[in-house]
Amino acid sequence: MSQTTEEWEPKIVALVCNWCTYAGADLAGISRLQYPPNVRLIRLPCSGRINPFYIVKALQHGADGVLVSGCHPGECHYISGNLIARRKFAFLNNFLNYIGIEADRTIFTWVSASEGDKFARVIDEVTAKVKALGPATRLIKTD
Amino acid sequence: MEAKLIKKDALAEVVKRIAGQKLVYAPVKDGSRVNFKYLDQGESAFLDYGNSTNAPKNIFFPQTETMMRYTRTDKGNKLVSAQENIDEMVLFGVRPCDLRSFKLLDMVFDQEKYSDPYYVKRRQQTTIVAMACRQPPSSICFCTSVGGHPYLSDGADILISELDDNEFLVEFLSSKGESLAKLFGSLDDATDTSMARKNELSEASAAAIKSTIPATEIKPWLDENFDHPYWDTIHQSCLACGTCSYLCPTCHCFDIKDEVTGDDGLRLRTWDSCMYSIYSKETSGHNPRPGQKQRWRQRLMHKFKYFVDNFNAISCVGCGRCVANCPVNTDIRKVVSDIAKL
Amino acid sequence: MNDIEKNIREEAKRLLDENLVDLVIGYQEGTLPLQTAPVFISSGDEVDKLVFNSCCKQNLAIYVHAALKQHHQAQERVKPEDKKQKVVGVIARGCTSRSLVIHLQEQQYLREEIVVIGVPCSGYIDKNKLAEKTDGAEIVAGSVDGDTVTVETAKGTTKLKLDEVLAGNCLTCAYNNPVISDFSAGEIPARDCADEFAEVDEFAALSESERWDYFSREMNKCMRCFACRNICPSCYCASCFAEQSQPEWVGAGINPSDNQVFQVMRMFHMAGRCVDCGSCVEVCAEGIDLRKFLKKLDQDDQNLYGHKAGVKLDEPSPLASFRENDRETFIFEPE
Repeated sequence: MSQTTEEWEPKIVALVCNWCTYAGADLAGISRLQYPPNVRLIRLPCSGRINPFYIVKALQHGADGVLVSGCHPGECHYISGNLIARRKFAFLNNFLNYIGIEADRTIFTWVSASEGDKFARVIDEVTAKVKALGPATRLIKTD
Repeated sequence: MEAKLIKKDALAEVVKRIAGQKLVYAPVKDGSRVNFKYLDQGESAFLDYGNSTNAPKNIFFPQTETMMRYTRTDKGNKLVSAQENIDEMVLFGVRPCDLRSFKLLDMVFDQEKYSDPYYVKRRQQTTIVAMACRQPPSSICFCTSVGGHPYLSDGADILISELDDNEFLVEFLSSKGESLAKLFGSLDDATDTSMARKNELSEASAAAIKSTIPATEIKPWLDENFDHPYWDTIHQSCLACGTCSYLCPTCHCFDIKDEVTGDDGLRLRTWDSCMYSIYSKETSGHNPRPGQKQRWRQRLMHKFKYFVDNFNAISCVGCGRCVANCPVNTDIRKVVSDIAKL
Repeated sequence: MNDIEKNIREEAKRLLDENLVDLVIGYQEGTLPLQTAPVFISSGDEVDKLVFNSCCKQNLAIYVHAALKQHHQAQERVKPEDKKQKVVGVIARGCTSRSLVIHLQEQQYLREEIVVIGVPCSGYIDKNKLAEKTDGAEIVAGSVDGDTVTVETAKGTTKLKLDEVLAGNCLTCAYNNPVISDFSAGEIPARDCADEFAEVDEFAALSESERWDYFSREMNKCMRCFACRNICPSCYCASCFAEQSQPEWVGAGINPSDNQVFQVMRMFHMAGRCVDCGSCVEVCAEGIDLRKFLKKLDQDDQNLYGHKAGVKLDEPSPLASFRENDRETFIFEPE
């Protein structure tokens, strides 16, 4: 990607759960909804399986934004995985912002398997938010 | 060998002048601490200091050093040496204890048979300006017990000694040192009186070092007592942190590690500490030094026995950093003294 | 010798003499002025080494954990009928007792494996504040008498008010008496402390870039000696992520980014588990202000989940529990 001639495009890592958001993304595809190609989806069994380290490591290795999405509360395939995850993310989100990581670099949301349309809108808006921030400069590893 | 006199204000200017031409590694004040670092543009060194928190060994043996880079390609691995071009550097304001540590590090890294190119290159490119201790920087100092002296000049290219609050004696001790002489500007020659004054202060300073340890006496005991019950008594409070090793001017253990991202890799050399459990852990999971007792014994033995066996020198310069900074106040002076009484 | 010292020595002697404990962990006089060191006593004859004063800095709970874990491991291969129990006595002030509670909640050992010798504590002297007061000059002698700390350096003698040099965490600590104890060496009224999160609020009010500058500057000082992790009673993992190589969570070098990531993740592991004992700050040779960041997690723990680390034995840790109506204002909803 040439950054000099074309407009800068952010790289966004999306950590999503297998049962809801990934299926929601699938539905967005089947429904032929368009959304920006900036997002790289990583499928995990459950939002409860998302080690907060994944989010920090993504930022360290150059992600301009990290999106985390799972099932709506009450709809977790494993009953309470997302409820436990919600507390972890609340701590992490506040903490990262407290040390000075821009609030919009890490975004958490819920998208169910039937919300293909919501998934597309989330990606639209998240991409716009991260684009507005510009390239990430904090936590990034260079040698 | 030339000896000159310089005023305090002029000396600060000299550091700035050198820093304008070469990379200078010097003590800098940061809050209530003083640490050695490379001077930034226009930054001044802090020469009114006792001793730094960190040891200056970082200049020759950086905590992290890239040894090589590699890339996996279709045609096999492509290796590139990462040995940098080392510019000429000046280590300014090093204390005699730390100066002595370089001699000890040389024994390890610059041997007839094994020579470490990374270390040797940096060492060759560096001019060392030492500053004698008019008073011992701290009551913990015990350099005289381990073969050092507050006015030691062996290994320095230039030695600066304070004659009074405003005047310093500058001795150019090597050709490397003399080549720096012009940056000191035109100075008055030192007189016999000033040399005599230096000798007088030198003796007074050595006499002012009240902290002593029987460092040489314990070797025979260490030779015999690898399994003595005394070793059960010192390690319990040890946190197994690396503070003592990382601040020590003579600790020189390192680890070599690869960091791989995709097809690209870096081979890094980083400091390591025998206080860590993974230091001696083997791939099988077995650890020949299973507990802190064995690790503590190793560190003490290495300093006062193994190094003596290998190089005929004690691997401690008496700077007192480990004593002052140990989070649980394990005092190596006390350990050595206790052993001497056994 | 003060009353507290007299009481803890008597109790330690009784426990050891009557074989009620195998070991007592406490503090002894250090070799440097205004310092103490942890001490491990296994015989009633040695109890006179025990001291307790405002120079006792370390949170001793980590040593209790280490002693018992080591014992458990040694017992793994012993036949059930031959298994022995080891009981550890510990001199515990408020923060130490809270760490013990966390260990018990996290099922690290059983309540009957520890004997808590509770001591009242009004705070300990912070080496960084002392160094600031003396501008880094070496302290060659020092003493504490009531509310006055006398400090002698090469430049002369200074008298300081105790409150001026108490650690920041002690100034906001209301747990001046232990939360659990089997024996109490005395009791003092709880400190009437200032708002414990004032510093967090002040920091949070700075701009993002100011906060980042402060954070990255502090982390650049880190030499990765791991003293902060190793003293922390809540950091008791047998193998830390920082030492794993598959995957390598943190690079081995002192790359600024690796320092930041190491500390972010270590601190994150303290969410709902930090008792604010200040030990990580106290042991740091480089004086890194970790508390500034850890306190934020403490604040969120309290504000979001009404929890305080290590205060109640039967209260689960926030990350091991949930409520269906937990606050989720941070969850993003597209327009």
